[in-house]
Formats: sequence, C-alpha cells, structure tokens
Amino acid sequence: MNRRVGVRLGPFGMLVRRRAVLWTAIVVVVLLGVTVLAVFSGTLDLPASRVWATLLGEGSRVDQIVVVDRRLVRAVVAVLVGFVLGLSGALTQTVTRNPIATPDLLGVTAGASAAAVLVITQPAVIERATGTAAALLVTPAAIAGGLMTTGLIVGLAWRGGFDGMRLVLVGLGVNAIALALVSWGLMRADLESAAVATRWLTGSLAGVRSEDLTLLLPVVVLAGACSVVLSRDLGALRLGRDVAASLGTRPARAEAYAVALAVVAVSAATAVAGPIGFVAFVAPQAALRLFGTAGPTPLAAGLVGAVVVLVSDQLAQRLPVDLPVGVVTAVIGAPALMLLLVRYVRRTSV
Amino acid sequence: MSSPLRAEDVVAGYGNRDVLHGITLDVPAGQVTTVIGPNGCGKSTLLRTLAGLLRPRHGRVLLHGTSLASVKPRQVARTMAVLPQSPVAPEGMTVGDLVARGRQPYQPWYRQWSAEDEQIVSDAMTSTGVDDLAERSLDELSGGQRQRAWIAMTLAQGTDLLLLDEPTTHLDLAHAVEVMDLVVRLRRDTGRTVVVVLHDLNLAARYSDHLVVMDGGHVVAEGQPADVVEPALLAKVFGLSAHVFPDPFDRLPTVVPTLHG
Repeated sequence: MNRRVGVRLGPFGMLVRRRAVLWTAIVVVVLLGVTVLAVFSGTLDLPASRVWATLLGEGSRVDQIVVVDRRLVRAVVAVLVGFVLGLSGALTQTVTRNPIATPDLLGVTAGASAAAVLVITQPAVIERATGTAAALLVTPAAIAGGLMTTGLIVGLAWRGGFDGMRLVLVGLGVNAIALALVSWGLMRADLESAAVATRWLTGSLAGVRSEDLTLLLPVVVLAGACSVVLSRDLGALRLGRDVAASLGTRPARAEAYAVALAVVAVSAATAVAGPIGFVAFVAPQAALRLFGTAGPTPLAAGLVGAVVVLVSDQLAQRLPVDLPVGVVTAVIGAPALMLLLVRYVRRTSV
Repeated sequence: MSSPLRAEDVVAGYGNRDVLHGITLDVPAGQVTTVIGPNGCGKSTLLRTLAGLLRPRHGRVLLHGTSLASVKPRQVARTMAVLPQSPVAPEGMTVGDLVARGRQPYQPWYRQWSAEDEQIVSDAMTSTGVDDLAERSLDELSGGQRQRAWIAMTLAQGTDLLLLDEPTTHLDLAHAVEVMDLVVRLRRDTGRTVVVVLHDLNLAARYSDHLVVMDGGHVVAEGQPADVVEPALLAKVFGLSAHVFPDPFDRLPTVVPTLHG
C-alpha cells in the first residue's frame, strides 16, 4: 500500500510514495471541482451559459463583478490562504516536533490580529463612506504584528533550540496577552470602527478583492519554493536536533528559516482573511495521515489546508445563516484538537 | 597507526557548568573503544564533543588530523556517523525511510534519491538484519530491532568512524547482546573505528578492544579491558565492591558484586 518508488529526472531525484501520489491527485481534483462549483453557483442564480460567457470576457459588467470579482477571486483566495496556513502549520510542527505548536494556537495569529485591530480602530483609518478599513495599512500592520509576536515567543522560549513544552506554554501566555490587547483595542474604539474590526476578527473571506491576490500569490510561490528547498533539512530535523546535526544539517539555521517562512506566510494570510483558526493545526495532521508521510510535510499540508478553507468557505456561504469561514473551520478544528490531545495524553501516560 | 579521532585538552559543558575538565584522548583506529564511568561523569558529554554536537570551550577535537571546528558539517557527516542516546523518530516512520536518511550528507536538496543511494541503503539494512522490516513502522518493532534500524541509518552514511551513545539503554540483556554483536561484527568485517558509551561494565569488558574509564570529567584509566577492569578501580570510581575474574570460556574479565552480610 505504502510502497515507495525512486524517481529520477535529469539531476533531480526523489522517493515517491504511491499513496502520496494518489492523494495528491484526489486533493487536486477536489480543489478544481469545488472551485468550478463555486464559480457556477451561488446566491444569485446565473445560468451556466452566462457564467461561461462571462469567464470568456463576454458578460455584462454586473455578471463580471458577480462571477469574477466575487466568486472566482473568493475561491482562489480561499485556496491560497488555506495552502499558506497548512504549509506554515507543517513547518512549525516539524521544527518543534509538536503538533500543538502552530501559529494560530501559539499567539502569532493573535499578535497579527492585535496589531490589525489597533490600526483599524485608529479613527483616521476607516473610510467613512464605505465603512471598510484601509487595507493598505491593515496588511502591513498584521504582518508586523505577527513578526513581533514571533520575536517575543522565540525570545522567551529559545534555549539554544526549541523545547516543545516550553514553547507551548510561552505561546499560550503570549496568545492571552495578544487577545487582551485585541479586547482593549475594541473597548476604546468608537462603534463604527469596532464593528469593522470585529468583522475582520472573525476570519472572513467575504470582503476579499482581486488586489489581495497580488499579496498572496508571491507569498504562496515563495513559501512553496522555499519548502521544497528546505524539505531535506526538515526531514532531518524530524529525527531530533542531534541526529539532524550528525547528518550534516545545521539545525539552528534550518529551524530559523522554517519559522521565519511560516510566520511571513501566516501573517500574509491573516492580513488578507483575518484569523482563520485551526487550519494550520488540522491540515498538517490530516495530511500526514492521508499521505502516509513520516511527519507533516509542508506541501501536502498546504494542499489539504487549501481544501479545508475552500470547502469551509463554500459551506459558510451556503448555510441558512451567513457564517464567516473562521467559524466553520473552528467547528471542524476544535474536535480534532481535542481528539489529538486525548491521544497524546494516552500515549504519554501509558 | 594514527588516530582518526583525537581530543586535545578538551573542556566542555552546558551553560556555565563545565562537565569535561581537560580531556586528552586518542581513539585507536579499527577498534571498538568503550567509554564507561559512573552516572554524571561526562561520558555522554565526551561523546557529543567528539561528535561535534557540542563545541568545546577550550581545546579541540581533531578528525583525521583536522580541527573539527574548521570542517563543514556535511563533510563531517561523510566521515563520522553518530547515534545519540534514545533517538526518537516521528510516528509512523518506516525502517526504510529512516535508513534512507543516512544518505543525506551526500544529497543536494534537489536529489533526495539515486540508484547508488538505494544500493547503499539496502546493504546497510542487510548487514544489520533489518532488510525484512523495511516497510514496517518503527513503533511496531522491538527495542533491539529499532536500535539496529538506527544503526543501519548511521551505516548508510558510509563513514569509517561510528559513535554510539548508550546504544543498549532500555534494552534487556538479549537485545543488548544483539546490538553489541552487531557492533563487533562491523568492526571485524568493515574495519570501522567504533566509539561506544556503555554503562554496563560486563558488556563493556566483553565487547571492547579499548576501554576508557571516566570519573568527574577526567579520564582516570585507559587500556585493554583485562588490564583496566580491576577491583581497586571499581571501588574508587564506581564505589562498587566487586570480584573481577576471567570467565572460564573466553578468559574475559567478568565483574560480580560482592555479597555483604
């Protein structure tokens, strides 16, 4: 079932699992299928012929907005955000050898949120006419917040390397501080900006625009490419720092690259979609079980994360109550976290 | 014969605390050298320093005459393989995956597999007797099988130096013997130089060509097991009152605690 085959192509070579190839194919088909569904159906009932014509650039201005700007862009952003979240979760889980150590559970996302909220609630930032925050300021603020929070967590938890439990405890503390900052920001804000901030905080893809793609696409390409280059050293890190070092990897350097990449990626995703919880945690764990890999691998986790966010967002749009995508991923993710914790406690207490 | 691995006046430790207080040691080529000593004497610290996993605060480690600090990690990994104490593999990892990792020092990031790698990995699994377990997950194996799989990974590195930190910890006697038999066979069949840290005096006396006794961060005795293992040393270093006599079959020193009362 899980046999591996060596594949060679010019100077390139890798071991490929049949199961991983099969699941990659399944995931890609699901992604394409759901995207097509997302483009061809929605709250507004457009016949398929009109959608098709619009995609070919022959639709009316209104059709163009509905099909391309709303449906297609939203689906593509969902895929990219999910990919980035899953990938960054796999990176931090690998570095810490701890499935609970993901950016959303350890305060990186909360730090990005806190910075974003503090910016949104500055009176000058809200465009009074449209009631939206000026994305130009929120995006860099979220990224800076994520980076600063990471700096704080790493500074407090680093002892010549990451100790899994110390990192989790420090992360939980930083997470609490960041969430307190968010509350403070909302408390002192006026009603209008508090409403904008709250909408942003639930993690929603409802407001995404095609400009978001110009931020996400380079991040996705960068993160994917770096993950491929890093994969050899990540594989060594899964065996522990000493084994990694004895295999010729510089563990501290590989860990620093992986964490930096994860934080940049997750901050960009958070800047676009707000904090979408649990994807970075669930996707890598689901991916390693489906693909049969030893430890979470970034690309597989990214693909599964893309499916999770795309499907969750489609569900969120089609449920009788209009829910933000973050609520749906939490409904999926929270039980998965509990299941993992129960298994973890059993394993370590036996 | 010149020593492939040499420590010169090495001082090393963790944080502000020195564990090794000036150790000079020549590892003899093509022999099994065993480091023994009471808990906390610094034997694992010495092995980690020799392996380059811990930087000496003072002094230096020479690998084939070159200072370890000046050799690139990947180059070191092609010369010297190290198995730390109680290594942990991710859940679900197969023996084949683990052993294949041993080829990493030779692989650029874009080529993580080649026919040559495949052959060397397969040979490493055969010589450690884990070839039938290649598709099995490490969590399903016995302690002895798992330890042999890890040793197979270090063999796949294709080095002439092998350092093992307490490879028999947590193993019952039969499995410990299984691992030590493998170590001795590697030395005999391939001429590898092996350094082992052990805490079991009888295993150490039986399977070593060269014994290094440590106490309080110093090397206190060194030589062939028959010359080194004697009651006065055991009393002084381990606080152990014991008889030492050659066993009737192989004439190797055997340690038996004296009965009090």
